[in-house]
Amino acid sequence: MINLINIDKSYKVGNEKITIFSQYNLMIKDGEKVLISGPSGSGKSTLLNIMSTIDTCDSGDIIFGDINISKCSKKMTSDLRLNNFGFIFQSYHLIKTLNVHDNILLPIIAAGKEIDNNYIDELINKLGISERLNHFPYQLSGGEQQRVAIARAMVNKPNIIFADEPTGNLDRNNSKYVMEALIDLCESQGTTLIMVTHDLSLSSYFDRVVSIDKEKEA
Amino acid sequence: MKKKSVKFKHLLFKSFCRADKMLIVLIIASFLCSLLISGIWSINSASKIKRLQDARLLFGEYQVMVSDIDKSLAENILKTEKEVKISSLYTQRILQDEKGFSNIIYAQEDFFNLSQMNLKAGTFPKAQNEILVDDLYAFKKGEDAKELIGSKIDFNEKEYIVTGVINNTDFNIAYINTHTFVLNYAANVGSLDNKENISFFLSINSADISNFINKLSNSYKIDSNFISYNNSAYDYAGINTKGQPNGIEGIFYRVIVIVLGFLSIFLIYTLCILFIKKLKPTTSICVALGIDFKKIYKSYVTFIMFFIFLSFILSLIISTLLSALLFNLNYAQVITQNVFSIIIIAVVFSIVGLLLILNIMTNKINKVEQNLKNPVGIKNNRVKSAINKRYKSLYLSLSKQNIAVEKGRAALYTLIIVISSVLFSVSIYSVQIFRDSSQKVQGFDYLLEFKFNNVAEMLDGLKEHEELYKNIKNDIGTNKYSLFFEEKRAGLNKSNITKEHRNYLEKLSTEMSASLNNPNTDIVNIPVVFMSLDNNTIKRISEKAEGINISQNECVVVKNTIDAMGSSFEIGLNAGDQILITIPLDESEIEEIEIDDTQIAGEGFVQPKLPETTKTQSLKVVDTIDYLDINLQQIKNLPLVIVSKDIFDKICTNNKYPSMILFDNDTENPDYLEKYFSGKSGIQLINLVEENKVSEEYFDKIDFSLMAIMFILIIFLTLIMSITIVLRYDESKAQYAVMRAIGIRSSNVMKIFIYEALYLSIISALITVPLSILGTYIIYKSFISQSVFFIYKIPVFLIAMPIVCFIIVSIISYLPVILKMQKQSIAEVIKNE
Repeated sequence: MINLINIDKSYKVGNEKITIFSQYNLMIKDGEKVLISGPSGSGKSTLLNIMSTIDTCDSGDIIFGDINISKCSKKMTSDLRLNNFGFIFQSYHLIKTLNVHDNILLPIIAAGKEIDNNYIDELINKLGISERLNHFPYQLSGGEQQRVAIARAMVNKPNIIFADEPTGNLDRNNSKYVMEALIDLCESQGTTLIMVTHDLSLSSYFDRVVSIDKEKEA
Repeated sequence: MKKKSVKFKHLLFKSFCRADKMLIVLIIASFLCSLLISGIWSINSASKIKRLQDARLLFGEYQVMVSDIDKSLAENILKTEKEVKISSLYTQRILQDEKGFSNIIYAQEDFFNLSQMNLKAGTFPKAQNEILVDDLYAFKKGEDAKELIGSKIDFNEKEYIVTGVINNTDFNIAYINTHTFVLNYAANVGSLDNKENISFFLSINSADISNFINKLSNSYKIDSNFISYNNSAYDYAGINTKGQPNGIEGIFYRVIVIVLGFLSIFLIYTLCILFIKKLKPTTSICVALGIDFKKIYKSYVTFIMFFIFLSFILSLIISTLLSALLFNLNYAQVITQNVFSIIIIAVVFSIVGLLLILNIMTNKINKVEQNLKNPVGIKNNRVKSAINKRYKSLYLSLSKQNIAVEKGRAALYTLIIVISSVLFSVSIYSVQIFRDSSQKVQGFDYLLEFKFNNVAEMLDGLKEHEELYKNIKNDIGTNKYSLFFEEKRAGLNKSNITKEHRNYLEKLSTEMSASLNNPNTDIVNIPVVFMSLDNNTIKRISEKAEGINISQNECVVVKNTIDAMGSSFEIGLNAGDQILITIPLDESEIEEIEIDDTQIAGEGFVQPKLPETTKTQSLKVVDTIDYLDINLQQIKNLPLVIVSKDIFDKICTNNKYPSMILFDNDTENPDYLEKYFSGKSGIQLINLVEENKVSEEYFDKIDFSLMAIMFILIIFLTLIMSITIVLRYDESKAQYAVMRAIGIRSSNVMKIFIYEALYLSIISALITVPLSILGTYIIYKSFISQSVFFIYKIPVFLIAMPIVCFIIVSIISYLPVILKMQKQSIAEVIKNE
């Protein structure tokens, strides 16, 4: 469970202060699939970044399990991300100097965990990238890169997957493929999925849709 | 309404100027680089011009000597020729009597401005009965130079009052027991015959010396053999007639300016690349809008070059203005002297431009290459190997993987680091070589100079003072006497003299003190200084800690000769070579011949063959010493040969100034020795520290400049490395941000980065060391070609020195990246990349 309590977040552009969130609250249960939507500039990605600890809020608490993330040190948040969170970005962000195999294994090696070969094989087969393991990111299509990114996000069996418009750069077919693979993996692992998108046609995959503008207004 | 047309370039220029603060950094860096180059050169040139101006006041443009013309013609030239600024008439007579030769100079008062002689004490004679004597004459009279002034002497059947003492001149070397006397030309002109040959010096303030010389030959019918000239003013100022610095100083400044030029290229170029990277978003948008990538890139290069050019011009103006103001010179003069730095700056400008244009082309090529890459060909699966090693070297593996995949970029960074660190290392090595050579001529204790007429007298003197020496030893403890020296010519006889060796000796012959009398035979003559040293002394002033035993037919050669200004040359003799020396025969060995006195003045007299008074002896070079840890102005920078005491005594039969070194490290109380020897007749105590003061000041100055330049080089290297590392980080920051996003700690991400940089640094260092040694050798050789010699020796510890500096510089260079990494928001980087 991840619980956001009275979150404040604002940016400064020149002398002007732009408030993104003020006293914002949100609770997401374990295994829940939540879609965060809203118009551009509403703060969807910022919210995702705050929840996933790659950005910070000005004030408020973020509770993950029994840990108050907003009070954690950088080292602790790093460890949290490595062991409990998975990330999927719109622009895939694979390590360009590593091949597919190495990209997928990177988090597990960094965490110093034993590699579960059966699990990895299953992951690769489900995502349809078993033929691409020796290829480098620039040799893959967008859909393939995103599937590799999903494999990388799932490799450590995280509690939560944070996905920031993972289908934003993909065509309809690829979007469908990626979404189905992602939902399938999350459901089989019981992983919480928090995804940001403005494509409401994807809402059918999710348990709940959080509209950020409405929430803010509320 | 009239439409105002806006060109794409104008819009791009606006966007370019507002793009990033990197532009300001680039402009400042370009400005500082060129200011450094032109500043160093301007100050150097301006100081030379100033010195030349001063020298011209003293010497005129050229110093001309016309000898052996009659008095009326000489006076006529002086009256007619307006270019003659300072002039000095003099004539010279040589008198001989039973005591020896007397050299009488009738000179004008300005004689000493132009002659090599100096007035040591007193004043120039004004009246007919006033005279100057030389210091040797004063010494023989047993009086101090100052005490002799005012006294009366009988000379040339007349009585004269001594008004002053001159230094012992070159004339005394040519004639045994010869003394020089100077009389007033104007006061004695009546007694000179009008037909008497007169020599005179002229200082010509002429821009065209050849015309003036032609005039002397053609209009005044003076034999060209009797006209000689030199450019003393230029020599004094240390520049050639084109106004460029001469000798070691000139080379030194040129090398520094060239090194700075190279470093500037790398610094400015890397900054340019960094800046262009910052313009990537604008470029991408423009490309997306359908504008040709090349067109945009070319515009950027044009804009960048425009700003760099502006900063270059501004720095040139500032350096010219400052140096002109500093030395109170005309601006035009400084500008003309600044040509060299302008050329270097133009080269920097052109190369930076060329590299940027090349970058446009390689950018395209890279893209094509990238598409053609075969995925199967990439075998570097570092992570797998990391797994096998139980993850211990994950981050090292990742860094290696980065290098392996991006070979081209890694090679470029390595190249930048290698070139800048080679320049840096070469500078350190060269500076150390210079310092190593110069340290050998630092002040050294005391010199005792014995004013005896010959060795026999000296040896008697030594006996007489035996008690004194014992006392010295007892009283002062560390003192030791044992060095005698005398300049003599030796024939170097080598049966297998190589072409290179002959060329080398010929070079020494024309450019250094040595002379190669007969280059077509296997025997050459080189003036050397013979020394006799006891073993204790050898231990103290050479590397031969065990000392050397030299038998009668042997000698030891000191290979390197170091002059007072720190440069050195090698005599080219090795162990096993033979030296031929000439030693006088004993009186009993000289064959007596009979001459018929009645025929001497008569016609048909044939000069009989004179008996040999010398014989040749061969000495084998049994050992060599690199250099003696001592420098004496008295031995005139000649090569040193150490012989046995017996041979030394024979060689130096007519030695007039035997000397010895008195070691005294008790610098706390230098007056003690001077008091100790005051009043001891026949002994002159010379404080070598005082004697070498000028050299030391010169070295201090050079040393300070070198250190300052080293400091600048270190800053340059740090900047270049810093920029290179920042550039590397900037390229990979998205990747590092992703790593951090998936939970890898920033310290571990930093590890990847540092390992990668260290890996490249180690490779660079391995390439740098041999290249630097080679580079230093090339510089050393170029110095030799300019007749500036140093001892080429790079000790092992010195090789490690640039590497240590390099590591320190690397650590400092990481700081901006560490700070940047700490500050950078992961979310921001991922969003923007």
